[in-house]
Amino acid sequence: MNRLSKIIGGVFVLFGFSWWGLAVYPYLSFASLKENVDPNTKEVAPPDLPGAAQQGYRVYAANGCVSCHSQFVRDKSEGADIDREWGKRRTVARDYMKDGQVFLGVSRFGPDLTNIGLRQKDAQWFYRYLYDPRLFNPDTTMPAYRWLFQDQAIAGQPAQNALKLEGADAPRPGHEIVPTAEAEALVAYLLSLKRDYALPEAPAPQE
Amino acid sequence: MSVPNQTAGLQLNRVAAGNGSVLRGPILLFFVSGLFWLLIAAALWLFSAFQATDPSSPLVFPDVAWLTYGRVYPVAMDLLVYGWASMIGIGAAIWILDSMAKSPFSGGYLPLLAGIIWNLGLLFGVWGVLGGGSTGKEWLEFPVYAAFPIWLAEIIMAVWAFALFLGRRSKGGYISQAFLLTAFIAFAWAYGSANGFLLFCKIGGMAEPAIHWWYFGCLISLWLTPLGVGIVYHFVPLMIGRPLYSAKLATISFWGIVGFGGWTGIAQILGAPLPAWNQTASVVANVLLVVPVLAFATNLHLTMKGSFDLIKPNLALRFLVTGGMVFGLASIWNAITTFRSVNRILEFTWAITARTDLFLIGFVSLVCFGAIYYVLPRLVGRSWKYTRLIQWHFWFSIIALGTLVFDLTIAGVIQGFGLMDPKVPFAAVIDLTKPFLLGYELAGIFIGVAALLGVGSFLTVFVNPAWAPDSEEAPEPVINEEVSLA
Amino acid sequence: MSSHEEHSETPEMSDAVPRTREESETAINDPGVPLVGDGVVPRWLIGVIFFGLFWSGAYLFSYSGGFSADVFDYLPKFGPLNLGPQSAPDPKVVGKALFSQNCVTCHQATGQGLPGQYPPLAGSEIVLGEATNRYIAIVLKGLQGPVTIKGENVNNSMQAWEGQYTDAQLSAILTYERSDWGNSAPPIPPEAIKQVRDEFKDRKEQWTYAEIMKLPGKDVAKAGGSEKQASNKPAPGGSPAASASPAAQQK
Ligand code: HEC
Repeated sequence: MNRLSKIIGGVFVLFGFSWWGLAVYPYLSFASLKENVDPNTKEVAPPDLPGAAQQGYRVYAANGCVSCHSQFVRDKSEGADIDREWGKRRTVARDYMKDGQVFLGVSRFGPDLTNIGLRQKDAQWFYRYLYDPRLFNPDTTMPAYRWLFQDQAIAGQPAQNALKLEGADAPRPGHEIVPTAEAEALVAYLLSLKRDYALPEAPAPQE
Repeated sequence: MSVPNQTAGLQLNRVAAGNGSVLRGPILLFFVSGLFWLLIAAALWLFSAFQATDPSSPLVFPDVAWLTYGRVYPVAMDLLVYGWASMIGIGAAIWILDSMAKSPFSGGYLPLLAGIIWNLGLLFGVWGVLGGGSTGKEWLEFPVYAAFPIWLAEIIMAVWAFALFLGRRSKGGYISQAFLLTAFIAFAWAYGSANGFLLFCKIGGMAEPAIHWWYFGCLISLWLTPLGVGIVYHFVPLMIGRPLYSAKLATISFWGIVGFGGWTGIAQILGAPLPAWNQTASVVANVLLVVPVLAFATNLHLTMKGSFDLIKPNLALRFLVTGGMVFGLASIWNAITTFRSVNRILEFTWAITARTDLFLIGFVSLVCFGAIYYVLPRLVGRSWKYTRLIQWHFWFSIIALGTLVFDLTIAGVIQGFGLMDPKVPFAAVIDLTKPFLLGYELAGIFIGVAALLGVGSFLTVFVNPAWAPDSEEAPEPVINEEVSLA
Repeated sequence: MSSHEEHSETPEMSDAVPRTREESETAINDPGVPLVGDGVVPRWLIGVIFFGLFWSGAYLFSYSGGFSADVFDYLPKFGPLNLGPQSAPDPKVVGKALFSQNCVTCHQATGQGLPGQYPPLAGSEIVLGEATNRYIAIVLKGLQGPVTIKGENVNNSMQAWEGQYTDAQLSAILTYERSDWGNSAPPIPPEAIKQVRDEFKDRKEQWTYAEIMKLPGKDVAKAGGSEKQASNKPAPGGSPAASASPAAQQK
């Protein structure tokens, strides 16, 4: 009995130590992060997310984009992330403080998406990419997400955000392919992924 | 010290199968469910491997949301961990804890209840993740309505285990009890607090991945590892009829795993903006974890010394000993790939996936099957009929493991060096790894075959006539011809 | 768990413990209890343990960034922590950020303005001219009515910015405007803004272009502001061609 309590006590102490160090401690130290306000321009960094993007991260989560895409740029000394132009600087804790959910990811089967909103600024591009990534690279392993779009008969004017598709992907005559609400939220989220503001703790490395 | 039956070898510890046993039902429930989820997991894994290799193949359904890679693959992995490995581990733990405690309390309804709730949780989880309710956190994808039942079932199991232990009639204990009880505490705490933090509290920012990957370390090192190590420590001495080599080594392995295990997870995301000391502590923990694992493997080796020829005929032993030895290798490999200089290259690649797979398929799954092969005949009072089938199962498991890990590791190294060189375009890196993805498909097929063989041999035990307790025959799956040859 | 003392326990002993459950009821009829030996820990493992502890201590203390919560880089940094550029921020960068908050709506990100309404800044005589007092005065008080820049007529109105921005901010904006879109003219220091602001501190209404052109031109950007008549001809180094010189004139 006595030995049992020693064992249980030991397990609790050792386990609790790791729990404190890797769960509670980061929780406490990151909870106190404040946004950075530039003394000259009064610009707030990181900026607040647009409303649509706050829905979109759920679509990103639900569809396991994180199993192929990472969202963090490592320091220049840690890899070629910056040289691959996935970001101008490493990401730091404050970059994530306003994210609805943090998708660091442990796999780069696809490119890093930390700054995809800087590389591609056009919602139409994202729609077409998600609808058929093979339009852009015939050999790609990025899956198509056609179910995020719907085929509808054109009523009067063609919809503003209808996909511009040609060839095999072109919709039937009189029909158009439009993004669903989920696709719109997801793309708004992807467009919001840009860490182009400056933070004092993360200077861009000099060449 | 007197060791009875030391020479009896295979005949040792024949037991009358549990007549009217209260716990037979729960153990069987856990075993059958575990095998069922293994089949589903293997099928989904194979399916996702095909999708990853060739997104224009007819196995890809871009119009069907719940069949896309990002949902199927996580479900396969979750089922492998929470369905297969956890349920078999719990089943074996029930057997071990009960046989050690010799307690008048059996509380058979508690494990039964837990088994049912756990299965419901998994069912909700599969439904939820495929249906678009995934939380998007690796290994924690299950939404609340699935995670909560699993957690509840685990709490029930933990309460049961402690009640049994506290009411024990046997004097003293054995190392396996310590490992299994620790596993029950750790999983309840880790799964509960990770889900609690991530699902109920609205924590944002980098605290989220910190807790998330802390949990992953606990899942691997303080839940699956103690289950597997406890099983090996328990069954191997029993099967070879000799005592475990050393209590001291067992003590080292226990406190080492408990002490370092919880710190290992953050090393999965080295380079992320977490405080430097968190990352460094995690690297150190992964490296130091080699010590207890080596203590375990050495203990196993020295226990087996002189009895190694038993692993040829005794298939349950073969699974367990191979699993234990693979664990030693896996942990050394884990330490090597955690060092910053190596991790920098292999991070985000298939090699890291392979590292986890080596643990899950090489250590945990082999040990789980070893446990089934040991426990089942004693549970149902029948011995194994088609030992050849089990032998095939063993070799297919090894081939599957080898193909999977070897292939993905090479792919990961190529991918890693490719990604390190900014002059190689990203699409070219993917192209370089494509041939290996074919090997991944092949490995998926082997895993499926191995799973089918395992389930098949599980079922064949039931066609065998009841096993006579006084017969000379051992209940283990034993290849008799080879015994007679020896 | 340390089953240390149990190694002498034999199944006979454990069976000697009274069992209350009926044999037929036992969960799993005695499957046997494993025994533990008292084997010694191999020497090499002891070596590994000590080496491991030594190494991990050294590693932990060298690469932990002083165990501080806001150090993310594990590599030891010598000297004080570098929290970004300690020097004053580049006025052109600040200026660009400020420009894109307000000015950009009329003058456009290209600096070309809108034909007929808002004058271009790229290549503008006012922006690049030596008579920086006119440039500053316009921005401080606003401008209204027809304007002719680069031979083109535009006609609209610009509000006064003096209430909106500090001297330093205006200096940043103006310096930036003088440096982008092919423009290249010396920076405008905050003191110059202050000088012009003081000079016209009682004026409330916007300028007209005619009034501005009547102001005696002087280059307030030069230290002390040269009293000699300055015209709208490009300041020294003010033409795109002379873009090499501004660096030299920064001081
Ligand atoms: C099977 C793994 C996989 C999954 C799952 C996946 N992607 Fe991709 N993704 C890729 C690959 C591979 C590429 C690179 C394609 C190429 O360049 O050939 C890519 C490229 C992209 C790009 C373009 C990146 C760039 O830099 O041009 C975007 C945007 C993208 N994916 C978004 C998503 C989103 C959103 C999801 C979830 C709905 C998702 N991906 C799920 C593998 C995946």
